[in-house]
Amino acid sequence: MSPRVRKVISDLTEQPARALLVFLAIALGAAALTVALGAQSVLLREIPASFATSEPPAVVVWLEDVDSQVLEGVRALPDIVDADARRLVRTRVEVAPGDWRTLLLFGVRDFADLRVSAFEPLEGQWPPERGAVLVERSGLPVLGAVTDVGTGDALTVRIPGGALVSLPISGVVHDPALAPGWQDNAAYAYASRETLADLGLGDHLDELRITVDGDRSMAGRVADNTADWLAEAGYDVQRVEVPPRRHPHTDHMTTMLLLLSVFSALALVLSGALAASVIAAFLARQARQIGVMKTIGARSSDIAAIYLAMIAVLAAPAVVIGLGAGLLGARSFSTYAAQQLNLDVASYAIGTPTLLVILCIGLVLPLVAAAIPIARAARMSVQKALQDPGITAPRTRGRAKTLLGRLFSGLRRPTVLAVRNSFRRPARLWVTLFALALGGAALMTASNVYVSLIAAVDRSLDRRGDDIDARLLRPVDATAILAEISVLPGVSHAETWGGGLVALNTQESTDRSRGRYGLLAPPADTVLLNVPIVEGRWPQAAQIGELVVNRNLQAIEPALVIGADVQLALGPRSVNGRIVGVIEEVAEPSLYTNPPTFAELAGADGLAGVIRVAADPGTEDRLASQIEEVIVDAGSMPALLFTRPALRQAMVDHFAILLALLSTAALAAIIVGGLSLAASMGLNVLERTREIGVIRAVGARPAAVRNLILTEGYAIALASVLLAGILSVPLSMAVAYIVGNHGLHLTLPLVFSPIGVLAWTVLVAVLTLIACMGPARRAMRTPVCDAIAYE
Amino acid sequence: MSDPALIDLRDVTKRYKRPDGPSFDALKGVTCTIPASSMTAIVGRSGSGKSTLLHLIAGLDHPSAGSVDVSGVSLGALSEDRLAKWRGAEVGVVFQFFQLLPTLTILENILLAMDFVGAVPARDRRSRALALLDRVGIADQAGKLPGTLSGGQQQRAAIARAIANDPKLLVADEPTGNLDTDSAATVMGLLTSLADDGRAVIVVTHDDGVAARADRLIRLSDGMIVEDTAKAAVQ
Repeated sequence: MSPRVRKVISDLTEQPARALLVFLAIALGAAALTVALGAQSVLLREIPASFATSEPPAVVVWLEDVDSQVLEGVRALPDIVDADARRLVRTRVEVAPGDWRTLLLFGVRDFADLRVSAFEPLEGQWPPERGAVLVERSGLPVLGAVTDVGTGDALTVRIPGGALVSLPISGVVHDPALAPGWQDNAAYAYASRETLADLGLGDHLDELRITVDGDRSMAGRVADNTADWLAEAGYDVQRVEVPPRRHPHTDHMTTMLLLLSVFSALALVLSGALAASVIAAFLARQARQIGVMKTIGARSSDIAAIYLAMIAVLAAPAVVIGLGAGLLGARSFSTYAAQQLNLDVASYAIGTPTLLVILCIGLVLPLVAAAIPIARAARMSVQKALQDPGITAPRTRGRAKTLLGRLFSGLRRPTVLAVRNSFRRPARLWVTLFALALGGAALMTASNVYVSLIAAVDRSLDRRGDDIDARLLRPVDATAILAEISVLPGVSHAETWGGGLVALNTQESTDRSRGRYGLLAPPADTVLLNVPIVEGRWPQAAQIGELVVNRNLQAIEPALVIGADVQLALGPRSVNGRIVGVIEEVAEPSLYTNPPTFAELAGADGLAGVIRVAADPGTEDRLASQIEEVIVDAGSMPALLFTRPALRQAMVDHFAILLALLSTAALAAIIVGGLSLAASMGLNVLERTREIGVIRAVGARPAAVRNLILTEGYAIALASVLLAGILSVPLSMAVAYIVGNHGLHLTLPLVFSPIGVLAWTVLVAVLTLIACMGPARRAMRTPVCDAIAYE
Repeated sequence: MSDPALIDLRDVTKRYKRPDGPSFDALKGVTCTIPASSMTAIVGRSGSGKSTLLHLIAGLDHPSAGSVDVSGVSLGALSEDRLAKWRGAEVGVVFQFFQLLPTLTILENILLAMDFVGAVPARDRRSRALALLDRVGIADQAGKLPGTLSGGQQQRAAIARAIANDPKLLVADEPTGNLDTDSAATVMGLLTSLADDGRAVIVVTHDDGVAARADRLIRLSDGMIVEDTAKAAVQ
């Protein structure tokens, strides 16, 4: 073995703790990078791929009945890949006595020949036997919230018309095109058209679902052509829609992955800085050896090569291990993210280019980071290197010296000593501080943003003011139902609103597709809606056609700006309208108008499509059950019925993935910070071994030495809490802006939560204790005479 | 030598283990006594065991065999904690390279030694520290950091720190080894005056001039005392 190689190996084994720190720093950086890039690689491939397995429709056309003749004709039209028929029946399912939830029941043409909007069987009987249904897996928690539902159990379902039926479950399926039912507090079931007929719902299927060979503009053209063809063939085309052919949460997930990447990049940079800091201290101890090597003929490049080789020896296995750990992390995160989207990950494979990027960055970054201290050490003159005092505490210079002499002079002497010691290696202090502070800031940001999201939900619910919100399948007489609901015990205030799902046509529309969105028409004197207008104004009480749109709908239909002319259709009737205002709220995409506009659409005055109730605390669940019965007795059925707590929980559940992401990012930053602190304290104490020996020689007891080191650590920790608090402000604002504007389409009311500060204070206190105990124990155990003689 | 023995070493051996070879005895069965109110010089070639002997006397290290008693206290029987307390109260240490804490001012360095031991009442510490600095002739440097002082001034500050808790024993390892002639003379003058105050001062040195100022000279060779001479004989 060549002497140079032997030197590299012996240097590493001589200082195993430092070698381990450099190794961990590099491994951690590589792991953070792998988690971010790996998760990105997996999710950006698997989300669309899993979604695509459902053969999502590019065009949906609503007809009276999609029979086989229609299907055959449409399949023969140009640019159409395939077509299938489907029907959606909104029902209610009883999950506990009096506890009803929404059950979307899909009528399926042929389970053995799913051509569009496919789903796959997971367990049970396929296809379901006549009279039974298959349930979608993500709705099982809703169905099983109270009863233990599994294959073989029966559901009590209220179908349109109010009849109660028992539907046995013959199996469980996975439908990757559906948002998780547990998030929306709804369940999904699939039945054959014969089963629908047996239930008295008729066997017709009203949705023509089409897949297209082309992009969305092609889908628009196909939609128009198909509608024209159907009209010419004598069919009554009720509505056409061109849904986006990607998972509804794709943009949301892309934003999340961007955030993860940013945090991981920061963790990577800090890991590099940490490695460089440890290597600088390592080289300080090697100064005399460098002098000796130069004396016997080594050039600067020879010296640099030896130490760069040493880093490479550490970096290569560290990157491999970091990569392995990161792959596990990426897999866990991808699995969790997929679960949140009700998708399956078919493969966790990460592309070779991504792996190569990780390996390159993982290997090159430590070398680049170490290059500065190595170059400085390699260029040192022989004389200076030979006279170097080795690893001793640095002397403070210039103005810093004067300043240091005055700093904290009012504190106890041991405290003064400890606090001033923490300032003696400014570069190392800043790396440690920033690493720690970033961990703290990430934690505080996670807490701030999450609390802000909850605050946004609560603010939105407060502005509504209702405790129970029921959307009716069919409008009912407003006066009669209000009279019945108002006298229910626990109702403090009740209102009936106009409302329903309306087809929307903007002036910008170039095809015949119409999105369908919720329209709400609160009475002019409502006390259950107090959402401030962010642009424009509320509709005037009697002005037909004036509309307010929320930001969520604007995100889908960008043409809906102030002044935009639109056409609304509810069944056969339509109204021309104009956007006059914009609001921000945590809600589904919705339009608001005045009662006269809704009356014009509905073709009658005094109809209620929405019931909102303010209830006495604690009565919500009972009232929800009673209101459900009142609505059924009135001849309708709730399409949706939420209590405020349930609605709040459903909204909060949507943020779970964001919290997981921010927590993951915070965890990575905290690990880097903790490692940095451990490295810094270890080096600080090592460098001051002689000083500690002197302190012990003049009478400091072991406990005093330990307290000195702990005080120094806690001084850094305290500074990190302050710096983290400062850093968390812009970081929280940036993340809140991204999440608010891209995820929720509203300006998030940023709340600075004390929970994050408190959590970080406790966490950093524990980290500091752990980071300091090792060096403190070593300092206490080193014999005084050895400590004094230490170089 | 009518003063009673302050330090009593009996058959003291210090053995070091070598990582790749047999163990090595730095001291081999050393026995001697050192009285209070005296200045003793320990001389010998490098590796003869001088510093090891000094460390054992100062309680900075433990003997492998034998006993070290100072003021009737057997150092081997003390726990690390009690040894630290004893050291702070009973021993002052002066190093060749001063070893002042660089982030504390000269005054704070002295106060810190008093803080650790707690023998001097808190209200009296500052005035005592200033008085000690005045005694060593650097009172005007009290508020400065060590790095701004000359070597001689730093060593005088180190002596002031060493006597901060009024110890009976003062040990100095090559106290003039890093000083110019004038500074060395000043430092030795201070050490002599401290011995005259009733302390036992033990100096490890290579410098014949320093050794010549001692009351007694102990010469070590290969870990054994080969010469133990009183002042008259030295001169």
